[in-house]
Amino acid sequence: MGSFSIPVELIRIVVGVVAIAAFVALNAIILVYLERKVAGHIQRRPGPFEVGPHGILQTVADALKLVGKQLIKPAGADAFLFWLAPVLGFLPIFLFFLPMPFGPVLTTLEVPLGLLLILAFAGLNVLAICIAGWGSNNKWSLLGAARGVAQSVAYEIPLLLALLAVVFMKGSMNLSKIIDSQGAWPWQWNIVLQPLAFLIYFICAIAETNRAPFDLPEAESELTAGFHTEYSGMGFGLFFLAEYANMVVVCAVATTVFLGGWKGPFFSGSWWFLAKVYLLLMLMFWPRWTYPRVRFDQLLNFNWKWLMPLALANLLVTAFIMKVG
Amino acid sequence: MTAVLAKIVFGSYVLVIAAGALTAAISKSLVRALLGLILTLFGVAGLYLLMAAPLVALMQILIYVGAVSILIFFAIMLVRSGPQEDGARPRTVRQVVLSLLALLAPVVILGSAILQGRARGGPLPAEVPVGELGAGLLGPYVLSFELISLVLFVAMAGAVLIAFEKRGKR
Amino acid sequence: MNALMLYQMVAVLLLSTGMFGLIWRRSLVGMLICVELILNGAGLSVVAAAQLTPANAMLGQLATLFIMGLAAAEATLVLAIIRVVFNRFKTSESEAVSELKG
Repeated sequence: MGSFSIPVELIRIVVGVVAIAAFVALNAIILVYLERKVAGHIQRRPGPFEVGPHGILQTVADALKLVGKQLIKPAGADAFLFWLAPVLGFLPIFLFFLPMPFGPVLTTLEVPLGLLLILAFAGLNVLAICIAGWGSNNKWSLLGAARGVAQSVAYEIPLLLALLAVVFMKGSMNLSKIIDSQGAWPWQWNIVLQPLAFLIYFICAIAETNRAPFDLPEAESELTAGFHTEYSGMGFGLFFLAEYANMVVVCAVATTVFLGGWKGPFFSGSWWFLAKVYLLLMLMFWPRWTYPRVRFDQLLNFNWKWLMPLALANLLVTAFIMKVG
Repeated sequence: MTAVLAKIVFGSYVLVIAAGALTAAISKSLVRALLGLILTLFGVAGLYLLMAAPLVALMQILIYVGAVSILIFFAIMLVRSGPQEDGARPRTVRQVVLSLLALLAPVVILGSAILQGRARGGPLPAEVPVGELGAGLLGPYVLSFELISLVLFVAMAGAVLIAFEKRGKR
Repeated sequence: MNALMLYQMVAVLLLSTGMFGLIWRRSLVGMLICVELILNGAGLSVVAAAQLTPANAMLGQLATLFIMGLAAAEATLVLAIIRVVFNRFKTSESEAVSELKG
């Protein structure tokens, strides 16, 4: 029996996961408030103003309300599936942030296939939508879930192809290596090398996280509330939390792969990472209150007829340039 | 410590696989069977990770959990025939005997082959770098690579051809 | 009982459970689920044989990736077939759709 010492990597992962949980929770609180303020100002109204100075404590009040609500399960719904869905939507969040380099040494787990890890577990979100729609025993939920799944699965493909183009150029799926290969100044970031890929990735990211104008699965004014119609209280809270956390994840991946991660022109560090992530998040908030919702067939047409051929062409041109140039 | 941890992790993955496979084979509700299958897929991905094959593990999750499971879910949605999903009539003795035979035959035959063959496992598995796998796909095994893309294309075209209903044919 | 034998036993477990489910289940989708179990068992066995023996590790991992691709293609086709069968017979119970008796 050798010495009973806990491996260092395990301690690092545990500490990292705790820090990630805190980061996700804090971000959710800030983002909910920020979105409502941004929405308000775009619509020329002040947004939340009552609770706390300038409505800062609004999210806390909302969270307390959600936690305090009664958990209702619809009659005839499979209880196990019904409560599994929000948990399944929420659990992968911790995995997404494991390979993410927040700073020069702030990576919880150096994974050589970090990007693939994130993309692989992004499929679990689709599964959570499926199970939520089915477990609600409600035909509107099922319809919303089917729409959501068709949308997510469709938009995953140009997302993968756009990221693949960058992986081609940099030769690694390790997120830290991708950041290392970029410089500190904005013209040395990958977005200069792959602008089309960034655009395609960002559009697909908005569709993957079910944000407007691609928010048909949630469709607040259409299918009641889509796949999470029957969820109230903490069940809805978990879906809500998962949606904002997913937004942070896709923006963090975009920052890492296209915008140079934690590198900045002066004083490189995690604050640059956070600044870029929040810039992209604001960019994500913007279309929600400026664009109308896309119709479902328009949504799928846009993907299959425009985004995917563009992503494929981008990949081909990248491969060609790398081989010849 | 790492060896003990490895054994514990292996045992838990095998438990996950066994539970998932049992649910997938027996459960009356098809969606629960699908969940059992997904549990098994995660367990197998974990075993791939234990064998130092991370690319295969992540592709397992990406392809199987992310795509094939959704496909099967759509199949379940399409053939909903009521709450009782997998047959209300009890099974005949003949069916039970045949099922148990199907269960035991591989275990007995292959299990004895494994135990008697006494294959000498090598040292700890070494991870093959992803670049090497890619070079293999574009090098010695490029024919299989091209053929699999052809197979996938033909499968998709065939599926559309089989199941497509012309508009206005209602 | 070394690691290779343990992995192969797990693969046999998957294979036998899949075959049991294939015969036990009546609905076509349930049979599809059990076929996926069998394919997983096969993939596990191939990777174990590749990684834990002096055999070519790259070949085994590539073979398992191809098995996954084939499983996806096969699931697609089976789904299409189930759809057509359901449209024709209005049910997907295997006993209801078997017209050739004897």
